[in-house]
Amino acid sequence: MANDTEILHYLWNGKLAVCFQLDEQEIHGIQNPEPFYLMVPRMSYFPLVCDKVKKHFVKHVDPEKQEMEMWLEFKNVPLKWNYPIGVLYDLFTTDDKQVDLPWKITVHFDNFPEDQLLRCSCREAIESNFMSSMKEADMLKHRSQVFSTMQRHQHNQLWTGLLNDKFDQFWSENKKLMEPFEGSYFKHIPVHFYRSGSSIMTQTLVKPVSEDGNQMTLGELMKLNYPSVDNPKVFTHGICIPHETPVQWMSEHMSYLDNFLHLVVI
Amino acid sequence: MDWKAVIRQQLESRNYRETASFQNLITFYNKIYDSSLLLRAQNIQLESQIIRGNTGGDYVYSEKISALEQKLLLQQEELTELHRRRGENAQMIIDLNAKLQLTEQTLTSKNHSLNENVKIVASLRAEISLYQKNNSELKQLNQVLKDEHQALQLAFTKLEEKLRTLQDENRELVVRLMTYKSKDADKLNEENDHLVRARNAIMQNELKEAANDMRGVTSECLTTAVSNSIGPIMASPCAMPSKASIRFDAHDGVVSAVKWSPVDRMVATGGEDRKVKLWDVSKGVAECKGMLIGSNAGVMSVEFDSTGGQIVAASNDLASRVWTVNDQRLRVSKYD
Repeated sequence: MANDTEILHYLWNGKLAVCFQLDEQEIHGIQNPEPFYLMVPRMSYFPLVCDKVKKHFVKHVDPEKQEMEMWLEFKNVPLKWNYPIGVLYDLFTTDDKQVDLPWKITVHFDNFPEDQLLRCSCREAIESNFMSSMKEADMLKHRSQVFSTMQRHQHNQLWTGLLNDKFDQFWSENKKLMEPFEGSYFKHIPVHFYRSGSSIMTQTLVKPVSEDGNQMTLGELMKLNYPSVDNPKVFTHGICIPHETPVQWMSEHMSYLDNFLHLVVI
Repeated sequence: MDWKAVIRQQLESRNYRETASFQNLITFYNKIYDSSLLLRAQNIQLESQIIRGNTGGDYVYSEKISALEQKLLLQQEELTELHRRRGENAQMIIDLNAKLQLTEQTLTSKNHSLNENVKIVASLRAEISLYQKNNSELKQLNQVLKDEHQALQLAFTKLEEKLRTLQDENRELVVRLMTYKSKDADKLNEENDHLVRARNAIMQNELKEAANDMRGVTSECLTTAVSNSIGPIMASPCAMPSKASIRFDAHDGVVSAVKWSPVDRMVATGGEDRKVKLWDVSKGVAECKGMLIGSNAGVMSVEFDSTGGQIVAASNDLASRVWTVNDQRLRVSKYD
């Protein structure tokens, strides 16, 4: 288990170097803004870390557009703020070739892509999105019996742990959500599947035990869900997961903070 | 290799590749960025200070001027304040004047109403005195009426007493009248009895004379028709009785009525001598059983009642009378 906690720490400490650049069309004034570099945690969400970025670039856009909502884009693909940053990064991974670091992201203030992105009006919107994901995951794992019995301040502790990057604060509560339900398995495994290069998410009901009563492994799960793909590679947290890894263990240790496994299939 | 070890190793290398290689660089960049921002802000501040210093010239003068300017500003403020106050006061005076006028108006209207009220009070007082006078008059009248009533009451009681004495007297007189009446009736009955006795005595004397006078009475005499009977007796050879079984003198004068008693063998006769007589004919001779007196004129008709206990007789004095057979007393005498 000491080994497993180490893995949790590795995951928690995973950060990406990001280079933010303002879109050239939107530069207002003579002076070109300098790119802004930042280390962002893979587990976090963009709106929680981008306050400084906005402050840096807002001086260089048209004063009429300064009040508009900032959004991000990479290779002409708008980045969804409601996905964890690590997932967004892994989506652009293609066949062992990862995106070069630092990750060059373009910042926009104008022309908000209403049809592809959700509006993120305030922190409360992110919080309620995050909490509802947690609740959904708990519903799949424990029929929502753990999350709904938690107190209001315990929910707050989860959220502030994420906000302030406090591992111990977050995991002291999250531990309860990661305990197996009746025996050594969850009822279902909360998983989100993505195909690389596309930001479309699919979700199926995944049981932790295969039909012959043994632990379901990642390879078996892939055969069930992607029978047409030959020897699929599964990426999460920027690494390729071996096929013999049990799904139950992955859910307990390799889930993102919203308690979902986000698997990118190549 | 174990899958867990693989994952661990991969994560380690990932963190090394993605994080560790950039961490220091970017932290350092961030520090520099922050300090550059700070320096820029300081620079702007200093620049503005320098500009201010150049334009101000002598620092002492500028200070003085600024102090004076400040004073001037204060004074001006005070002035405006005073102006404003004056305006307020003027406004207040206007308001007070308006208020004064209003109160004066109300005062006059109040006085007016007061005068009216005084008038009303006077008229009401006069009315009150009038009513008081009326009241006293009515009281006197009432007293007079009461006196009269008392007098009348007294008269009434006196009259009542009188009425009572008169009623007593009346009662006494009625009682006396009753006694007189009963006496009258007794006297009449006595008289009747007396008369009957006298008659009987006369009859006995006559009978005695008659008995002494017996000088061979023939049977012819007995069969002759009753004397003094009216008209000849019509006799048919078969049904008519040819012989009278008994013949006797019943009355002094005309015999006007005969009747059989319905129960006894008895005959009642009435005649002009104002008497009704009862005869017993059962023994073959007519034996006078009684004489009923009371009629004041000749008896025209006699009749028994159905039991034979009472006799009614009609006489020429416009009256009918009823007697009882047993004691031969007059019971009813009815005129017309």
